Amino acid sequence: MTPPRPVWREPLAHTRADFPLLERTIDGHPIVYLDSASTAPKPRCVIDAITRVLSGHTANVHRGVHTLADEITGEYEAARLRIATFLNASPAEIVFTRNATEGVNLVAHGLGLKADDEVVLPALEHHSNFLPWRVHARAVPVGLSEDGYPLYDDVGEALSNRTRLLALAHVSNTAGVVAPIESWIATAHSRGLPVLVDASQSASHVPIDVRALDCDFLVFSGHKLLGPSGIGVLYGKRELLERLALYQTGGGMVRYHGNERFEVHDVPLRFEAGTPNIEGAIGLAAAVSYLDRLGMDTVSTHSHALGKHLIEGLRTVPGARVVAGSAPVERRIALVTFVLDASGLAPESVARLLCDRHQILVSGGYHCAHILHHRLNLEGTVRVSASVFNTHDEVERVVSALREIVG
Amino acid sequence: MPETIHSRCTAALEGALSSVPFYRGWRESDPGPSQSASERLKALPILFKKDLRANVPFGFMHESYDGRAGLMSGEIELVATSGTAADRVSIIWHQPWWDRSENEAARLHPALARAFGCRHREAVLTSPLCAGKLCHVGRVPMEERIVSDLLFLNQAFDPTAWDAREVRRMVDELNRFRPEVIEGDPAYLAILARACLLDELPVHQPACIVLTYEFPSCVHYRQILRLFPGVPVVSSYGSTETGHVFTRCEAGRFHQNTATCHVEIQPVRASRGDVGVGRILVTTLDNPWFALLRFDVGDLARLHHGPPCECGRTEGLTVEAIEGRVRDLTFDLQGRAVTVKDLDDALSVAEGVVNYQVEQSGPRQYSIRYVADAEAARATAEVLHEAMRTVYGAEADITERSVSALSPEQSGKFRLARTTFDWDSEELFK
Repeated sequence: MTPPRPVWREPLAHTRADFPLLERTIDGHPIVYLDSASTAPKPRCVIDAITRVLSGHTANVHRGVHTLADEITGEYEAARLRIATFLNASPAEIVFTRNATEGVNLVAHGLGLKADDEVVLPALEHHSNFLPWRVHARAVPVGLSEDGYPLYDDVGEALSNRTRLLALAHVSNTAGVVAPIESWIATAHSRGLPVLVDASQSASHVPIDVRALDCDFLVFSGHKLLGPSGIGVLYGKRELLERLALYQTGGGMVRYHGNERFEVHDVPLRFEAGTPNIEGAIGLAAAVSYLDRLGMDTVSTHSHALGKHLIEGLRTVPGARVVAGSAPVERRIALVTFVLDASGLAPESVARLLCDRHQILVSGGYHCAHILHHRLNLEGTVRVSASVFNTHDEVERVVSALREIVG
Repeated sequence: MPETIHSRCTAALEGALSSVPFYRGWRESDPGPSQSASERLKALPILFKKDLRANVPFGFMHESYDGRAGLMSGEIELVATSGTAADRVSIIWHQPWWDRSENEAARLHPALARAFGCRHREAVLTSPLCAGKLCHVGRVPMEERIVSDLLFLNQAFDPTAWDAREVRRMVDELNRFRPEVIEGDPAYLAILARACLLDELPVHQPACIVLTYEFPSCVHYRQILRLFPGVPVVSSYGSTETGHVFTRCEAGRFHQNTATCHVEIQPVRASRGDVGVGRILVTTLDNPWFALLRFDVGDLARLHHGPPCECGRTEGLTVEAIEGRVRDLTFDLQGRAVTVKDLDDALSVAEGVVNYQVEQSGPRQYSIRYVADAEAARATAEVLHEAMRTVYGAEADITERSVSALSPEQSGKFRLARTTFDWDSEELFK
């Protein structure tokens, strides 16, 4: 007798209608979008917010003296306030950047690190939270278990009197597991060290309260959070932001410029040289509002449920090995990377096959985490990553497709 | 009974129809064994890339073959094509079949036959995307770019970005490695040749050069022949999906590689172009891992009519020329298709041109961007203008622009001609 099919709760299935991209077809079949860790589809409200700015509100911010300039400056700063509220921060602590990468680079540059200073981080960090530290100082990776789960508890052993900062992803873009950032922050603060959190993968999956976490810096990109590309956020405690060296100079960040000297604006504007991505910031605020309306607790519960379903499903696929498979399942979000033990099936081939045969869109490759893959002796992995609109039925589809591929 | 191309073709057809899942629906179109294999194939539908996309990995595999075990063991691989003629597709790659296809195709030209008749060193110059896995981009030591007897020379996506140091590095490696064969994308090899000629760099002369990966333009040939005078330059036509299909013989015609494929040329509709030209449909032979029947590669060829080729080869099809990709067709003022070969022949009169790209933006609007030797640039514009008028019509609206470089597309391939508007390629063959 066949066991009854589980009945999955789909608390966010109604959101599918909000995403025009989900109407796309490939070869006549609707797509299954499971690549949100790479970049997420945009809900209609984000598209509308951007379109509204471009069609009816085009003017520059912080410069103009006409009605449209006043309007757009108000909207731009309202976007900053909206995003600050999302993180439980103050608007003065929110710097608009191009993306998370620029946020990390801004901090790495601004701290005035020396070549023999050390930054401690997990070995599986994304290039964006690894290379800036290698360029400005010395990156000291904390080890990995055999399956790629970071040995977070070993952080103390990695610290030295040269350590200047700890940097880690809230959720790794390969492991898909919520990191124990609270314990890293406590460890760091007990030694007077700041912590930078990369929330690129977590911000659209779990609630974030920067005050409760007491993190010093936090970055994320808009495009993974249902917002537009080319906009990101750097949160920093105000006193720390004020101590950072200038990153870029130019228009918009200067209060006075005379023959002898110049005076820069207070934070955050001093870090926003040049005309900013105005419609991007407003679009990102719309995305944040959208997530707030859904309720981040609901979003988080759904993400954990999909993550658990993915892991359990992959366990039924012959030859599937999950990166960080030993991590506690309750700490997982809806993001899993894995390999299939089949030497004729490279991860890129599996990803392409899922698209061509099943219209399921996932990532295949190194996911900007070469060090992790080198340490695990893997030539890439397949990554399945969901968002609010994905359903358990879609998780079943990808698992079934993988079972069909490997038999 | 000895095997013939016809008996092998029949075996491939009947094997595919009886035991390859995708072709089950094609059985009713088969007129049966009372007809020749060629006639039976002609009665079948055409296989397109979208069919491959929807049915890999096992849809084209004989049922008696265990694809999953093959993929697990690595006997076969799932690989993606470069996406030259259309979107990228995944295919099943069986290395021994590919090697056989390459070796048999080499027998169709004496210089290639000599080189491939024994172990030989080969240097490959193409996009790093085309050279299998993308592992030679950046600064990879020469030792790591040598796989068995193959040296992969190029490390850059865009060969127009090669600087003097990069050119010298490749020349040094050629001079040290001393390959018997250089296999190259003609556009890439032409850029290297021009740089070497300008800097008067002495370059190792191989036993032969194989041009493949894309359509070899006259302007590319000219530069390659200048750098390698007296070296046989052989054009080889094939694709990742079909293996090696045609080899150009010493008399200048292309002969079918009957060992691993059967070929049909489906002519262009008379009202839309030259009926001597048609699209290339390939049936693969003896590859039960990936059996293709009447696969539309996306390229065009001109059939040879008349007496047998002077080289003496009579087996299989003989074609006068590979005419370029279907998607690179442009249209004259009467709306008739102009192949890349038509265009290239006409533009070859401009001696100073080293690369070009023609773009058609409307029924009468054409532009050409070209790279030319500096001293020839102005005169070249007039020559090109006239050449384009002869191809498209006296009333064509033509603009010319001299540029310093033309870069390849995302696939790493150069595109000699294109339209900026969509058109229905199937309508050309109805």
